[in-house]
Amino acid sequence: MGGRVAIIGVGMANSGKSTVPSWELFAGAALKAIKEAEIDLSEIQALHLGNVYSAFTEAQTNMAPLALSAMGIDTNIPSIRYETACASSSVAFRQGYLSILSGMYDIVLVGGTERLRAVPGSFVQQAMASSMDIAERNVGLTFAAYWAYVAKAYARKHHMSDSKLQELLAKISIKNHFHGAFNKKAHLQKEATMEDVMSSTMVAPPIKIMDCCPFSDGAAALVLSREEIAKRRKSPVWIAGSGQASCMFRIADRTDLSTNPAITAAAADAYKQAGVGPKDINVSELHDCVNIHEVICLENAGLFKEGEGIYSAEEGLTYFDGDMPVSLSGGLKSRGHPVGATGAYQLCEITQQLRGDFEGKRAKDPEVGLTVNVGGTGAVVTVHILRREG
Amino acid sequence: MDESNKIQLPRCYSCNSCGYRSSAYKAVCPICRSTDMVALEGAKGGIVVDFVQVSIPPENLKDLGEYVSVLVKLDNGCQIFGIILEDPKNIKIGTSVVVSSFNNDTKEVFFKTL
Repeated sequence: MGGRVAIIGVGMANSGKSTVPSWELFAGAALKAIKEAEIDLSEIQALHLGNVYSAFTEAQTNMAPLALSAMGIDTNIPSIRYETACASSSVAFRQGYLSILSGMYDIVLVGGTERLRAVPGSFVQQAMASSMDIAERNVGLTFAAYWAYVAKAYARKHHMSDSKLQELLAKISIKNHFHGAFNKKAHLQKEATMEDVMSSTMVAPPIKIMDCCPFSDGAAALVLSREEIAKRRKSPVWIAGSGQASCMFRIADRTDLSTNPAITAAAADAYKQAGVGPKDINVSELHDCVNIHEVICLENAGLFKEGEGIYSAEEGLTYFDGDMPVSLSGGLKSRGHPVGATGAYQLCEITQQLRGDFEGKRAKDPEVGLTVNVGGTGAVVTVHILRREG
Repeated sequence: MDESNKIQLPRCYSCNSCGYRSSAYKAVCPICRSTDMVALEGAKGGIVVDFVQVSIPPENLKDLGEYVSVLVKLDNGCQIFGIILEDPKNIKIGTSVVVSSFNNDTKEVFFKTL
């Protein structure tokens, strides 16, 4: 046991609408990661795969061995599918990391895949609702309504008018669309204006369509290896910290919807393992499924004080050239949200930011990066800290 | 007899040791770890803690059209979500509500303002 674990290869499919099944999409991303890692398929010792809704949207379960088979690996290695809603692929990443850390494996493939756009949007919404408490979704608590409750609780706590709240949230969507416009793998590669956001359809006040991310198809993969193998590669990115925590499942029982203690707990574990603090983070990818959640991630991961994260985009701090660059991929809002693959995209993107080869807006010479990936209505959280140098 | 006495009411749970209340089943109290958790008698009403107007209903409730999602603190101390089919202008934080219908199979809870 012991030693360090590194990311030695990453691969991402274009996020958006796929013409092929999710397992084929994953095979393409995985082969890119394997090529970048300079290994042979036969060197992969296990697959840890995130996937959430293929049973609903593709009538397909048993996804992990299917993904392996699509890659051309029909040998006797273990493969496991993880389902923790939107956090599935970062949990898969974490389990792959822990399996190497345990000494059991030397090289594993991790990632996630999802195909949501081959079925009607109303069907996807029903599938996604299954990640919430059944009693609460049956009484009309939609995801948008949940985030509306969160936004209202945040505004009340910080004495903010509804109009000011909506304006500041819009600036987060605008920031993420700005970054996404430069990311050729993003689902929505276009900038957005204040008018675009403010005039978009109201879903559950104060949450409008343009406050929310799209459903996307996508797949992302990473090759992880133990230290001795990674050191022979040109640009390994080290996994410095990995935290995971759970939050109270039933929302009605939570005492303060403007915070998520699971983000704080997972971040604290990750910071402790990495030996760094929030001030050491140079670039991050956060879980902006709805823009208010970028604020919750910023504050609960300690990157901003409570009540200050809401101003981050307005003040330019979270743009690529700001003091705390956030979601330079475009985030879930613009890169897209292929649910079971989103966490893996974030980890691939931060890896590329640290290596300096992300094809889009880059942070200035970052050494330490962070991801926050959140499942369902905050019930599952992972926080990962990656670093460039040993 | 009040009309709300005739309908089934949503179930809640209480810790006999520390008084913690939840609308969800808990084998052990998450606060004090006591196993002395009991089901509470259903409450007929409570007050609105917060509310959100839902303009685009989910598939299972599309026949309702627009509705108001409410978070209610019941008289027995539990909090639950429910639906109110009234003009949102009549609903405020602190508004008193009563259960107007409850489906024990689907757990659908409808409230009405007093």
